[in-house]
Amino acid sequence: MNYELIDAKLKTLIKVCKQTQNYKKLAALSLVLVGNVLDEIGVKLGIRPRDKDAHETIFHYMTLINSILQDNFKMILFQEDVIESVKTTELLFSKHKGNIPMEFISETYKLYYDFRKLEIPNLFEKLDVEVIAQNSEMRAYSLLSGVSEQTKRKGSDQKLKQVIVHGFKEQEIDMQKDLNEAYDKGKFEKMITLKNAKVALEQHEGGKIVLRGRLKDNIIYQRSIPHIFGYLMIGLFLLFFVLGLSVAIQTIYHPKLTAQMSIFSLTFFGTGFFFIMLYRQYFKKGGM
Amino acid sequence: MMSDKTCKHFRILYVLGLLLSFVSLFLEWYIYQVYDSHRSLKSYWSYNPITGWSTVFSENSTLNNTLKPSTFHIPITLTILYIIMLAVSAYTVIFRDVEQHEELEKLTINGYANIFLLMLMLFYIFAFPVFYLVPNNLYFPFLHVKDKDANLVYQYSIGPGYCLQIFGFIFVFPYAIFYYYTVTGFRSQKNSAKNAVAQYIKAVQDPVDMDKLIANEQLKLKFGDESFDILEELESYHPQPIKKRAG
Repeated sequence: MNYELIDAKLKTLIKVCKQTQNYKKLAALSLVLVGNVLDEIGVKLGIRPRDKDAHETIFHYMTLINSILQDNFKMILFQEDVIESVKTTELLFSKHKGNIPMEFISETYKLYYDFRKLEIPNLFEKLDVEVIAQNSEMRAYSLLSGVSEQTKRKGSDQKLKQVIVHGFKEQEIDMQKDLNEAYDKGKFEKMITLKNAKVALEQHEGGKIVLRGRLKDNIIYQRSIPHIFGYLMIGLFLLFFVLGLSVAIQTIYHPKLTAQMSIFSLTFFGTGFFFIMLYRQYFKKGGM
Repeated sequence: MMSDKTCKHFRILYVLGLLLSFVSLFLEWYIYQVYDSHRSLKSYWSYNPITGWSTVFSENSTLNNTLKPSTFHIPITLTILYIIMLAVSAYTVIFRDVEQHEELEKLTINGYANIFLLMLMLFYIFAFPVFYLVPNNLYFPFLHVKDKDANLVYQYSIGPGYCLQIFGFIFVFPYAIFYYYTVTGFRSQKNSAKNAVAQYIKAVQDPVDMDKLIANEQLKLKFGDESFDILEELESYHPQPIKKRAG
């Protein structure tokens, strides 16, 4: 949104309205602008927009935002006196059909600029897996891990997740205290990120890693590239296992060949075993 | 960056693997030779999955024809499917690079196609000896049999085509799995998400046409027109008197 352009036009309008003594227009516009900026705040926080069809008042909507933030983050965004101020202006506007004292109009514009300064972070952009990556060595996904190994790892992952979530909670409480004292965009943004990361950790099973930007720049992707050597080991194991199996099946068909074929069986199964051990030793621990 | 090079090298290896697998279809997969006691070649038969058995001897060579192995055919439909999958996979890796593509979801099908190709390769490597060679008394991978009564030496061995197939599988496997893992393990956050939210906000906000408001006021100033209704102009703001809630 081009606020500079809006401000320039608003300045012109105020100037003209002063000349025409049309303060009604300025009063109505101030409330519309405040309503709009609150809609933006609400939507960015994942809250429904103000229900204009049901004539939901601005101060009611502000209360709603506060109550949702209170439930989720234990913080309030709008102080009680601010809501009271908006409420008075709205009630006066309704009662006197737009004819409200100039001081209320000025106060509403002041609030509009205050709300604009809040710079609410966009909730939809803040699910950042790098927070998870920085906080843990958690395995993202395993295509070829054995079932028993996966179960074992699942248990240790759960413990690790609990520790991380606990750390997140502690950070959240500290930030809640700070935010209730004074609003700070950076802290609020971090709190949303932490909350989302917490949710992502808790709901990670079967989920995908969300990318922001290019795949090449993603830390988890970068860390997954060396796993390709592990895949090579698995491929070699599969190949030698299949060749060994073919020879073994042949000896079942022709038992008289067992002695001649034993060297091939030993070579194929032995080489397959070597590669799977190599994979387990050097790649599986890396968290594939 | 080393990781970038690693990925690139394995991608090149993948393409090379596809090429080897394709070439292998036109080479000999199995060779059957018979020598006499003087190491003189008496019979030579080689097998290719497309053309079947072929020999270097003339059709009139009785001994060669007598020693011909049992005839078997790998279904040609399977070979055609294999060639198609090789082409699809080559297209995927060359033109739909996982690192360059913005919407990974669209590459999921390519990831599955690569895995299917791997299955086909493994099937060829496994099925050829087990389902076709062994039941026809053709030994795998190499065997040297002396028949003292007939004074003949039989040589059974896999051919260059089968070996290339094995190398093709080794070269293709790592990147195919890596590609599959990447397209299924990652999800792109669409660039349009931010725009979508911005559009939604714009849609729910009350429209404010500042230019119109200014123009109307300027007209009023110029012509003294008082007929303009503020609540109509800013039609979106119609607060109702607050009703006391029951309870």
